[in-house]
Amino acid sequence: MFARDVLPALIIGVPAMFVLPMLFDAYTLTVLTAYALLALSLGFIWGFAGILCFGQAAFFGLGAYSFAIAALNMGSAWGPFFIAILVPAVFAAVFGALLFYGRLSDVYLAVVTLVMTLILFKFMNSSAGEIYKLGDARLGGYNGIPGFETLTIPWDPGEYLYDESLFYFAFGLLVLVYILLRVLLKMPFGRALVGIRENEQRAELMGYDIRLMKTIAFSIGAAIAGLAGCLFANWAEIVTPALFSLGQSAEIIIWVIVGGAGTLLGPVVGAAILGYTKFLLGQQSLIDNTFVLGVILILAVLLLPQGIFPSLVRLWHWLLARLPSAAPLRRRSGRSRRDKDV
Amino acid sequence: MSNRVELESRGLGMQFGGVHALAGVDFKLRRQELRCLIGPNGAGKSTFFKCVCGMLKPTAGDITIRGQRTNGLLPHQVARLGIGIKTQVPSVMNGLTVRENLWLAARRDNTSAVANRLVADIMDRLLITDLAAELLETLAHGKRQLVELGIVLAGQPWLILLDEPAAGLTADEVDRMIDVITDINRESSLIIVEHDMHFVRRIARQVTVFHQGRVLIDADVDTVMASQDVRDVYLGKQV
Repeated sequence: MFARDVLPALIIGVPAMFVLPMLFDAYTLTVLTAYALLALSLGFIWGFAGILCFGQAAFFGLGAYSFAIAALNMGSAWGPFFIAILVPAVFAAVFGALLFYGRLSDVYLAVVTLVMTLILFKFMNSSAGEIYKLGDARLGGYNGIPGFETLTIPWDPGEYLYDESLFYFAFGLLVLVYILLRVLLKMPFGRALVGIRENEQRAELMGYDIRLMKTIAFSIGAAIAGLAGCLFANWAEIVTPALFSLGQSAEIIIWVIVGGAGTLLGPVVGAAILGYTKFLLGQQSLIDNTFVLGVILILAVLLLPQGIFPSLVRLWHWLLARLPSAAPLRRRSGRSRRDKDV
Repeated sequence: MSNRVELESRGLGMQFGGVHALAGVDFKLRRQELRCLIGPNGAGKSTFFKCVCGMLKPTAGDITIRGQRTNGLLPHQVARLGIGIKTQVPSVMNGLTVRENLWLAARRDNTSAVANRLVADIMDRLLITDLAAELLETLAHGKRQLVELGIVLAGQPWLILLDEPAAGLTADEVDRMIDVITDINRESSLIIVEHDMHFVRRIARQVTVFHQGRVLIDADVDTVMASQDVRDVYLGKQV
């Protein structure tokens, strides 16, 4: 497990962590990393547990708001860091239990989760009044919550994590979460989750309690989304209701589809590429950038229905198979339609 | 062979709107029995089957498995009592390999090491070891039937319900299936829903005939095959 799952992630992840800031602006990289983590959260529950959550932004937003509110009340940032993971996880466990124990499936689940994030969006937008106050934190309605403490270096509370140091921290977490998910998917629980995705009825007939397992997976996904939200809050130094918006929710799904659902690395790649494209498009005013993102989605669905990353992997295997010297390395030509190892 | 009753239904009824798919089924299965359920389409065989395994909740009557009342239990809870179910259309995990399909079934009650051994044994027994790394979606129907049977065995059930195990199999595959079923029956009780009379004649001892949601006759296979009532039911006459 270590050699196949952990090591490659470290071999690629650690150098990338130091090379990327030389090529791109650390400020941009940090938000792309938060997006990648958010995409990874949906990539996990959708691609491996078969739960299409249209409202993953809700957990992202909850993580960010929990962090901001807790930071304002506690005056420090490390406690809130954990609260930002815990609140969405608990919320998702309760909400998920209602959905999965109620046997809500597929499209209904997508609609209900979408409505959930829109309700939070509406609520946060209309929370400008004095009464919307949690301890010292005013929710602030449309303007959101600014001015909270952000993360510091744990052993040096005077030194804030920002710019490059925040990027290292975020990217390190991304690599860590990726490794944890890969290990989880190799464990019996993870393998059974994939079984549920493949055939719920059979999983039940085997004796698996799919309601409980899906609830747990949903909650894990929400915890990761919350962590992404926390990083976003530290990066933006403000949280606003836009985190819960329909656009944000849709974007996460587009990242996963374009990058490659059914893989872990695909959503990360998708989020990074599309996030960066959006950033570049934001610097010009010739074309509307949602239009361009829409075109990319359509092209990806039509031309690379498996997503960018699995297509690259297949291209790589194809190239390897063409090389006579490398041929014996390939065990069998017909690999799975989803490259589950990636 | 012990005569202990392991599965029993009393007055089992299942109503869909105004339709009585089951209208009071009394059924008993004894230990290590191999029982075939037959009957024309719509007789209630599959509904009975689904009620037993928890996919449907009966609207009347009771099911008792080894002394425990099970109506209202969910499929996974019924499965955990030690009951293996093979559905009519092979219900397998298409995107996973044969080994992984069996492993997931074996792992639920066992440690990984035990599960690995169990999977290897079962693949040996069903002669599907060479398919271990194949994805289910690439297999032909007959192999899928066999793999599904392997999944059921991997759960080490003491009672196995098979819904049309011979459907769509070639003559050779049917022979193989019969061998496997006979082999399984040495340890486990079996209930088999089947349409194919030749198949039933070859494996059955005791046969239960369903008709219009009730048990028409419950007797040994020769009596059933000779029964005028059974012939009439299959030819669509009123009994």
